[in-house]
Amino acid sequence: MVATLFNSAGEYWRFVGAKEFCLSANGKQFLYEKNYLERIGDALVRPILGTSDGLLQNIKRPLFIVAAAIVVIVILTLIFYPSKLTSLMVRSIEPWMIKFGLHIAFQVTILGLGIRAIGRMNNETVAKAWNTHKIIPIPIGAERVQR
Amino acid sequence: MNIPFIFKAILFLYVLIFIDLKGKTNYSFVKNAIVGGRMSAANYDQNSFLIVRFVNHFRLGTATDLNPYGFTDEVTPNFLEKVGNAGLYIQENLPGKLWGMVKDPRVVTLALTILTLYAESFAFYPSITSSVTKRVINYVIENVPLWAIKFAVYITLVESTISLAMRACGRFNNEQLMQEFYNPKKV
Repeated sequence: MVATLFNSAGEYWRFVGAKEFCLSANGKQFLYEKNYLERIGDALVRPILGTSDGLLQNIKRPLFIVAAAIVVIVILTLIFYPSKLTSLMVRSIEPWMIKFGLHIAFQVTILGLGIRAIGRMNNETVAKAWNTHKIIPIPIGAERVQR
Repeated sequence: MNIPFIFKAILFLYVLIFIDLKGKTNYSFVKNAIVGGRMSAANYDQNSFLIVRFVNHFRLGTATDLNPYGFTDEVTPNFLEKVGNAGLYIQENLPGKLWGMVKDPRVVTLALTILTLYAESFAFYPSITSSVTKRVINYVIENVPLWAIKFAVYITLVESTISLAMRACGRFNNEQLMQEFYNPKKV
């Protein structure tokens, strides 16, 4: 099995956090067959990272900025006055439910990132392409630049 | 016989042997004892100090691999040396293999994932996480048989000592090897 090589911690984190890879020669998406670990990891991270990717790609739109401001205000109100907010919204939601939901969401995302990273490192196609600098990682929120 | 005294005596001898004649203490004596450091067949001098000759013999007897020392291909290990080498195979090769595994990015990723999951749990639910952690640690401490670990370490040390001695004995009884050691061929 080909070992994936990293020259620095930054390179490692870019590999782990990449939503996809593209060819360094022409910027086209690097298509390859994902192994089962990568597919499981992708499924686990999609709720949080997939949403974040979509949001970050649309961050420049005015409608998004307004929506983001409203969401931030709601989050701040939840932090400062959780019981008042939840009683206004839906009577059956308790603050501990939201906390537990966030906890589970983060745990699942972290686990998914780890599983996906190990799956990518075990994938010989990706490892070979990475070691020979044929692919570059695309972080969440970024778009592929096709040349 | 008082066993702790024997260990102190051995440690004292090790430190005494590997003190450099220039007055500096060679703290890499473990590595030099096993790998053989600066010794080579061409450096042995029968007119040098007794302690230097003792050190050279010690390194010849205990070195892991004699290839760097310039012995010819005619020198082959005898049966006793091979048995000693076999007895030290795990001790000499396993640390390198384990270190290679630790540096593997997959192992690093697994460790980081577990650590991050734990840190996230602690951030959200610190009291529950810490109480579960304490229970797990107490369970491990109460149920691990320390006597078995102590005995295993003891057996490993005894086996390593016997294997080192067999390797040294085999080499010192290897006529071809000792011939080249005492009369090194000048390059």
